[in-house]
Amino acid sequence: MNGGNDNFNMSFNPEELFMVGRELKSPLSAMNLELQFLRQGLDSKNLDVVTQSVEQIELSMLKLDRISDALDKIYTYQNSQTKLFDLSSINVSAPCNDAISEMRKDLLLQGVKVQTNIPKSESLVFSNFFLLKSILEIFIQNAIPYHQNQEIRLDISEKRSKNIARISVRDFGPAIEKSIFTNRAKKQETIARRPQMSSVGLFCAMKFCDMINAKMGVVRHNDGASFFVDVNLSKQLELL
Amino acid sequence: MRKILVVESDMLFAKKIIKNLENEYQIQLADNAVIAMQKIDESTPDLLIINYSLNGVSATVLFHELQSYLDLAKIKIFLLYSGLEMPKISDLKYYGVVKIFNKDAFSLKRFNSEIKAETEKA
Repeated sequence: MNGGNDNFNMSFNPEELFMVGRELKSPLSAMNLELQFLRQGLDSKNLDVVTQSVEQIELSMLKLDRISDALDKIYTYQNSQTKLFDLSSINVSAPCNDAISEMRKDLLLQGVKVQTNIPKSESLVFSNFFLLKSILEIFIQNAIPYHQNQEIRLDISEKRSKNIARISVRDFGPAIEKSIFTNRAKKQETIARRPQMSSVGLFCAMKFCDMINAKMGVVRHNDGASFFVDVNLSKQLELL
Repeated sequence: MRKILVVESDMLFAKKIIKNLENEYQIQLADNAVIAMQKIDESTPDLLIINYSLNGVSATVLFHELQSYLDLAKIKIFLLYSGLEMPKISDLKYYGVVKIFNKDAFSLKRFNSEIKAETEKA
């Protein structure tokens, strides 16, 4: 067993498996349609249509890649002795910057920017770089369709009294149910209101949080929501 | 211009459908059944394109709701589905479903010609 949680349970129930299958099919159906547009564009020698279709296929591929990558991480965590998911002291801003950089193509194709608020005194957290980065990528991906003025926001704040650093991604989408992580009906309500949000993504992010002993949650705003992950501050800080 | 309401929770797919039809039809989008009813109340469409597996309130509930109004019960429906179990048109005829399309093997050509034929009838 790797990482930070010995009681990690990777098993999927039938409902979760259905959700995964459905989300994998969505970009595939979109790609099938886009390929037909691409063919039309090529036949009519319309370069704009061709370019647009290629970009959309790229976007669907990125989406598929991200879902399969997240599922692969969960599988690998449970079934191999890799050190990849071990916890260590990391600078909290590093996975944030890396996640934004990793998402640059999605952001560019959808014309959205991430505004960051990263304090100058950067905190050290006890976490796993890859998993924390993946959680943030999921948050960013889910926030992109619900931007405001082509922007979403990533904030880092430190809560010394609770010994945590909170990383949150703010969107401006439809209302969200606070108990989406615990109440099935509320989860369904939220997903119905936010059809562009990836349920598989959220599910994987929750698993990743378990793997790094972090806590995930959501803060509701009048005009959107902030998904956050609370990561334990590193004890190394106390030595400074 | 004929009015079509697309009721689809899968936004990737919905956007492509709209892109395909928007030059010839007046298209509206609802990402769930509740919004669909609001849009239908505002302006009755000539044709509905509905995904069978909607998020939240199901397509079947929407069908029943439409059937409870004399005028709305007449709207023709094109049904989209994905997965192994193909809904039977004989079971859904009563609700106004006239065509069924598999999203996994979707042909734009067939879809466009069926829409043209149906809206010309209306």
